[in-house]
Amino acid sequence: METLIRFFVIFKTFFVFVLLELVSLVLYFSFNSFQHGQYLNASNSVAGRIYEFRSSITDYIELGNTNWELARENAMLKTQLYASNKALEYFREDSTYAKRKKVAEDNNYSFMSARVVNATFTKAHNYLTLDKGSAEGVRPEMGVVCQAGVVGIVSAVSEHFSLVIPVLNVSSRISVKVKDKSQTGTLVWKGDDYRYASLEDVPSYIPVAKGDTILTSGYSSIFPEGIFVGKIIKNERGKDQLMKLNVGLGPDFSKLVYVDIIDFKNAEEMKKLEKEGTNNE
Amino acid sequence: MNNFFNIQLIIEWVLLIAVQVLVLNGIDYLQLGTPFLFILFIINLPTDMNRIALLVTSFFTGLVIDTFSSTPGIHCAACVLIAYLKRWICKALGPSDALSLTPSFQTFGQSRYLQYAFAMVVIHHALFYFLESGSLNQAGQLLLRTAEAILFTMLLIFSVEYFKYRHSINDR
Repeated sequence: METLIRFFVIFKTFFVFVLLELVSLVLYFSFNSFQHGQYLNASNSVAGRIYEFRSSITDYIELGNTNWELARENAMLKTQLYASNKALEYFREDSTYAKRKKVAEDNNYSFMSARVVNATFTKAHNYLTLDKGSAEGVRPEMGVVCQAGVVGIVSAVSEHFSLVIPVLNVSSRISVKVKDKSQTGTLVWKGDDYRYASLEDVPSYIPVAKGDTILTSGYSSIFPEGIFVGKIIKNERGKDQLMKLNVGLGPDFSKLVYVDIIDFKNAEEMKKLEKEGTNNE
Repeated sequence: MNNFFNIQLIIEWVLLIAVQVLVLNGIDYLQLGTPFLFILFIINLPTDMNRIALLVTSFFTGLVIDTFSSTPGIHCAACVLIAYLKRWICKALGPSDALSLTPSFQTFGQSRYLQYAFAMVVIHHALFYFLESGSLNQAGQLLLRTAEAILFTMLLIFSVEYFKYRHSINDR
């Protein structure tokens, strides 16, 4: 016993070292298993506030660019407004557009604007921090989109901030479909280039062409159907006969500033029903 | 170790963490690696400091940075490793009386100090970027990013230390 104690005393530095490394690795592995480590990430309120402070300064630096973008967007919107005003004259109540709009309203989706206060896009596990949290009604598993397309899914919320797992995270999985074909697939990211993602689970007999548009499938309560995700930019047959489909993503993740959080009012009810249904089997 | 909670060390710690979190963590552009200047704190801690205190300090420094960059445990692991190896690296690369000094250009000499800092930075960055990528699937890209970040960090460390060195000469 005495030798054992002496052994521990002699090598105490080594044991403290091993202990601290073990704690680090436990933190590392438990966080990557999704939604753990609620406190040790940039959505906790201290880190969130400091990042908000930083972005309140850097926002000024970007002001020139933002102004220019807004002006350009304004011009584009005016053009669109003119075009749609003309088009509206021809619209009837039973047109497909009106139907789709009604479906969205019936499904109770609403949008909430939020600002990105911190973002990474060069790592394998990237995250965004938004300045809206549970106080504003944000819950985990809400979808996040921006003008240019799908951004990601909320994974954790604190009172005034929320952490989003964007498409650019190797653990992100989003159900999508190819426009005008009923085929659905899964959008994943391999961790390399922030401009591209891959489309998986599409059988090889389905013809998918370059330039085909990828939209959300609407098969979950997170995103409504038909939100733009990206365009196919590469379709090659791999050695294993499976198609390799690369998707050029709509949003530029290196420049995200404003995003919309999608609130699906009946999400709870839908999830409860699905859970009950599977339990009864 | 005699004056561990001295005010200068605490100010240095806060400054390095602030610069890391508010400025350097934002450098993500061009897909370059992020430089980690904050490990200069661990590099510059007195070498005669109690080693367990050194390990614990490094762990908490890593934990703070981890919290800000959503990389739980990764900086902790890398910081604790360099804190543990610091003694031997000092012995191998520093001057003969390295184990009773506070590392700087003045005490170590410019070339020995840079060699010592380089060894610490390489070990930290290699472990950090390896854990951060989570796999060796993109080994080429991983190596490139690690190398870029090491260069970047060394450049910053050199600038800070050179500035401190000139400052101390002018004071005399």
